[in-house]
Amino acid sequence: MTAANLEALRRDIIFLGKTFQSNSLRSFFHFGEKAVDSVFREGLQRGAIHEVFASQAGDAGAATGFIIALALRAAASHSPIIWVEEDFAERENGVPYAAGLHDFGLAPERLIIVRCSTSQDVLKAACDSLGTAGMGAVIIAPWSNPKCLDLTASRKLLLTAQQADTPAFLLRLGAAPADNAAVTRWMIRAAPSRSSGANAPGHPVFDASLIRNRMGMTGRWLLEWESDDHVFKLGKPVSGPLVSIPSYRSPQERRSATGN
Amino acid sequence: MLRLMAVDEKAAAAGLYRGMALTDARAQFEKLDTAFAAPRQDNALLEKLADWCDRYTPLVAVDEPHGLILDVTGCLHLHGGEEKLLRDIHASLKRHGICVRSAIAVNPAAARALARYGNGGIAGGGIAGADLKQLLYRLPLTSLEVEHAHLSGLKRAGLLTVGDVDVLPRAALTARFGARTVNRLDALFSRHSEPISPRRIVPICMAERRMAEPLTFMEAIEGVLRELAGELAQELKARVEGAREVEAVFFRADGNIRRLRIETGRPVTDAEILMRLLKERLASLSDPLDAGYGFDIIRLAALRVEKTMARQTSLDNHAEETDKIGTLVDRLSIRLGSKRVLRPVFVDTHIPERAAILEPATLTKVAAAARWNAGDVAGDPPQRPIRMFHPPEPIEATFEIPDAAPAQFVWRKARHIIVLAEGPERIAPEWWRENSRALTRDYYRLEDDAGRRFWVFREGLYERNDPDPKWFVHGIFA
Repeated sequence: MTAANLEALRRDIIFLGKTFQSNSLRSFFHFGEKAVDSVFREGLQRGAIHEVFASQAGDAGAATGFIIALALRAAASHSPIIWVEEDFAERENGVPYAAGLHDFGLAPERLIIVRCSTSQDVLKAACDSLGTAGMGAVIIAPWSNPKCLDLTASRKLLLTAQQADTPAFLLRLGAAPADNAAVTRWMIRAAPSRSSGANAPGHPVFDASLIRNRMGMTGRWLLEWESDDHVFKLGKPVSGPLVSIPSYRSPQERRSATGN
Repeated sequence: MLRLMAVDEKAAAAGLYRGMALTDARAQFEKLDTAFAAPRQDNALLEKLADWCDRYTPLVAVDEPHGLILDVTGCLHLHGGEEKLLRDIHASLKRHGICVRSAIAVNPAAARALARYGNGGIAGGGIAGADLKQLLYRLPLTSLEVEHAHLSGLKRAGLLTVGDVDVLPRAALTARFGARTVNRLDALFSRHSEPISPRRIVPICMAERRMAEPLTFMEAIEGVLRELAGELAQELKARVEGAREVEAVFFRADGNIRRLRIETGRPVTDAEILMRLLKERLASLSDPLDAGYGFDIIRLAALRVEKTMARQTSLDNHAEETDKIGTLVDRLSIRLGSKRVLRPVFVDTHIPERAAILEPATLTKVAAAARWNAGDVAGDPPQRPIRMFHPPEPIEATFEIPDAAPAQFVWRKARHIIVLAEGPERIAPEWWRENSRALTRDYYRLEDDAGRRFWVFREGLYERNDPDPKWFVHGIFA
């Protein structure tokens, strides 16, 4: 290990020490479901980065839903939620659709969508948004693995989030997990819903794996989102046992493993 | 046949005139120097000159052909009086090789007539009433610019000047030569006003600085901007208004003009915020402000304002926070462009893609909760997708029974086997819209075996003349 790395580690330790010292100022949010909340000591830290990945390209809708649900849990009611993405995200995964967001539980009046031409601009706009008082939550959706989203940039985001006590949610579509300053990291798959009757699809269900947690244990749950009450409930497997997946593998690898 | 479109002073003196056939002119003068007329370039030049004239007054109107009308009311003291103003215009334009005829008068019609048909020049101007009347009386009849038939009628009656016509009884004049002739006379003598139409939005209030020495350093320019922002804010405060649209205009010494416009989401009254927005705009320019020879005039004008209420600080700091969010929206809009900072806006229509459009956040006022989805019943799962595709993406659907939900479909090269389905929800096109050739759509909510939820539709109906309807994915659910 080189000296520079040791230096960085020392800084990390000092940083971590500070984190825990000023813990009393921190606020937390919860899932509203005991099974999940029990793995966090006090709950999910509000002023922090929470990162959400889609397990496969087709799970973009589920990952989007999960991140909005988290933002709704974390943000004060009626506070604005800002969504920062790149210009071309619209073509790739569609635009956030107001009527659908309304159905999902997010009042569209609260949403501000910011489009940027580069991923650097996304991070800059996100940083500015995080530092603004009164912001409910900031959803940052850079496409794929931008070079600029490195340890330093994510650390900067984390610091801003901590200072303002505003949650930052990183939506990573088309990306593979890499090391950064995120406090929790989730891998989301769509999961079969409980039919709401007459063979119709029911409430959204997520197969959520917590693959990194700075505050405690990791885990995997089936979570159902109640859009009217804004709560997660533990879902029951619908048909047959779930196929277990390894805790983490990049989407590319998985595709080759299953052969599609 | 080629005709002369314009002649210069020398040619006019030699007897050539506008509208003359080129062959006739060539017959008189063998070595005539001619060029093809370029009306479009002429107009472009005129527009440029009009822009340049902005330095004298923000009220500049184009007066076809080849004319400009400047409303200098209240601006004269800035230029040291009428004569100095005209001399300045003449001197500056002469340097660019442009020959100018000009006049200043109490109304635009008189100034125009004096410049075009009178002696023009500096001597032709004058605001004093009696002198002006004398000058106008001496103008030829053509300066009335009435129809050719009426003009020759007036001439036949032995009238030669505007003065001859003006003394005639008006009733008879109207009866014989039309209301237009009388109107023209009235306009000349300020008995009835003909408004001019300025090319640009007339600023509601503005502040400007004229520099004795052109400014070249960015720090100095920013300093001036800061002072101007302060003055503008003062003026706005006095009017109990806030700026929604502000324009900064930089007049470079060599005639180049740069305009920067900023729009804000809510009325701005604070000089500090205004300055921050201006700086953001300056920093975001893809083509940065080039001082070159230096700026000799800098102007800051509020183009659009809105009444502001005197604010009372509330007990919770909710209003303050809303304010901060507004400032953030303004800053991002200026940095990224207002088309990139958006808010969903509710539109009362059943067509899904039109029901929720995204509009620039600086334009939309935060509306009260709209009825985003009329069909939503408490306790029901979401009826509309969380992300929507524009345009809808075509899929290959296979089904067991026609006119029902597909059993499976292929989208983006992946096959989805449908487990749960709900539908159809029939949405008919809005036939009253122009060029609406859209077909009726049947929407289905589908869930595949992996738990992914889709919103797909079939365009066209089976029972009607559409044997091969197309299928599309319009959105994805959470």
